[in-house]
Amino acid sequence: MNRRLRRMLSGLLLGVLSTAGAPAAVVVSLDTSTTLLDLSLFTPGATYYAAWQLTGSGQVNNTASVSAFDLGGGTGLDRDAGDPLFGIFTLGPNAASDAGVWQSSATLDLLVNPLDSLSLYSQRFVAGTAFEFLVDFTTNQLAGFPPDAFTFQLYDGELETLLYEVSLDLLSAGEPIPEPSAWSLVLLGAAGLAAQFRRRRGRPKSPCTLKGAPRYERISRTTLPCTSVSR
Amino acid sequence: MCRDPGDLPSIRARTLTLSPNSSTPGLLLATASVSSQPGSALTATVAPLQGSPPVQFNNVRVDNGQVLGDAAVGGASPGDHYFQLTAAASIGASTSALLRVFVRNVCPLTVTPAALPQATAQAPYGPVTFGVSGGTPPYEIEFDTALPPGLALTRRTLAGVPTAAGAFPLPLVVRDAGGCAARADYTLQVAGPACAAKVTPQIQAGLGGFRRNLATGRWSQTVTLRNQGPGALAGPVALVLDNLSANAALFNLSGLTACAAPLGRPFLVVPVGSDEVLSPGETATANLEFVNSQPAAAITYTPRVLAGGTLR
Repeated sequence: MNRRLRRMLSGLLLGVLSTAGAPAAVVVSLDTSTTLLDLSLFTPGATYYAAWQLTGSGQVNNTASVSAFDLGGGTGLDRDAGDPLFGIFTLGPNAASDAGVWQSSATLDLLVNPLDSLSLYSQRFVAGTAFEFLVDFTTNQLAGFPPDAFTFQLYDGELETLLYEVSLDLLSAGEPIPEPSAWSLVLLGAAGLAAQFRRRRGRPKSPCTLKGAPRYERISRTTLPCTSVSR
Repeated sequence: MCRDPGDLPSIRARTLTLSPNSSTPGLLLATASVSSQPGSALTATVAPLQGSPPVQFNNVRVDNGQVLGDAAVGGASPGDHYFQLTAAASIGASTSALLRVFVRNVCPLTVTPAALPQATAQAPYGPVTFGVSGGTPPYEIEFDTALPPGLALTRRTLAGVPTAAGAFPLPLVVRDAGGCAARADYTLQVAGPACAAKVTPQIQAGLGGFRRNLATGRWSQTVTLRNQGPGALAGPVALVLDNLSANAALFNLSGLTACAAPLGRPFLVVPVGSDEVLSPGETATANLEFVNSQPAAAITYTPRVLAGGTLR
């Protein structure tokens, strides 16, 4: 199977073959064309807070594993005592490293369960020309309850203003009546195909992009309604 | 009912007032006061000087000159009538006065409706058009009191949207071209606002996940309401949070349910467009914000959707 076809199929598989508890993955990516909530652009040299959180509805266990951090030429700032942290999370490979998620080959695992409904990690960085990471997550859900959700947020360096937010509802497949957020996962792959062809025609990259893990495709915000995206 | 204009000049400032005898139309009751000397019992006689009413005053004896008892003027025709009133004291003294009596028609004005239909707060009322018959048109009508907030009388039509519940006395005064005035004492009952109907089976609430804003400390959730039913749903549409977990409070609530049971539940009115109608298949989005006193604890609640009325 050639590379192009493999990309197409993997994009479709992401949504269609996702089953309860099975991992899914997306890439969150920002660059200098990303318009933030205050209508400014993602600005190289600016100091931002990056925050990753997993919230639960108190019914099931879910995990979100964040990795492949790419600062796009920016600089990660060491952990600070004032950085908001909460709940159950695991930082690797060296949990004690001051570099935190900016250390080489860093991984961040967030976990929620019925007793711990918030897992939160945040750390500052000086922006480069892009910002990107990969998140894999499980999709356990009980029907009739709100889904657990993974959210990435970008704040100003003083943590006073929310500047960007993308939230993914961790919906399992087979929900009786999928809501738009659920359909967004189902449509993820199809949207990826559309994005493929658009990008090939030379269209500018969308401000909010989600792309698959190495086996998945970059998907344009203009075709995929990122679940609860604010920008 | 008609009233005499009241100004009844007489030579010695005697006063005489008339009012209609409702049991005998056309029969007027008159009272007069005649001054006299203290301690002297007076009697008075009345004789018409002008006009041709068959006049008969009964009980015209005046005690101590203070009050002339009610007297009847039977069959008086409309217009001015002059009476020479003579009061004689038991001690022989007497006094007299010229009284003018202006007899009006007994007003035959009839106002409809007999009673006002009940209103409902925050709901359109009327229009209620008042009809007048009898007397001499054209007629003028007005309320002799302030109208309940939200209602207005335009010409003969009462309409508007009352804002408050209660019982409002509304005396309506009607005048005809002949100077007759009639009064209808209405009372408008304004019931409390209509309770919204529970429409949860028709509307499905798609609950999104929660996220916490580190700048505000509040939690957000997006809820998508979709009309699954076959018919359009009249708004306003409200998302009610029943059984909200103790660790959470709805921050951007529109109010607490005070109409649709269970009461005291926080709710958020969800915009459904300018026409206030949620068509079949149409969706509306509610963005909830919570304060969570225990971040480790999940925010839980049971969604209930109400529509077509108010909740407070």
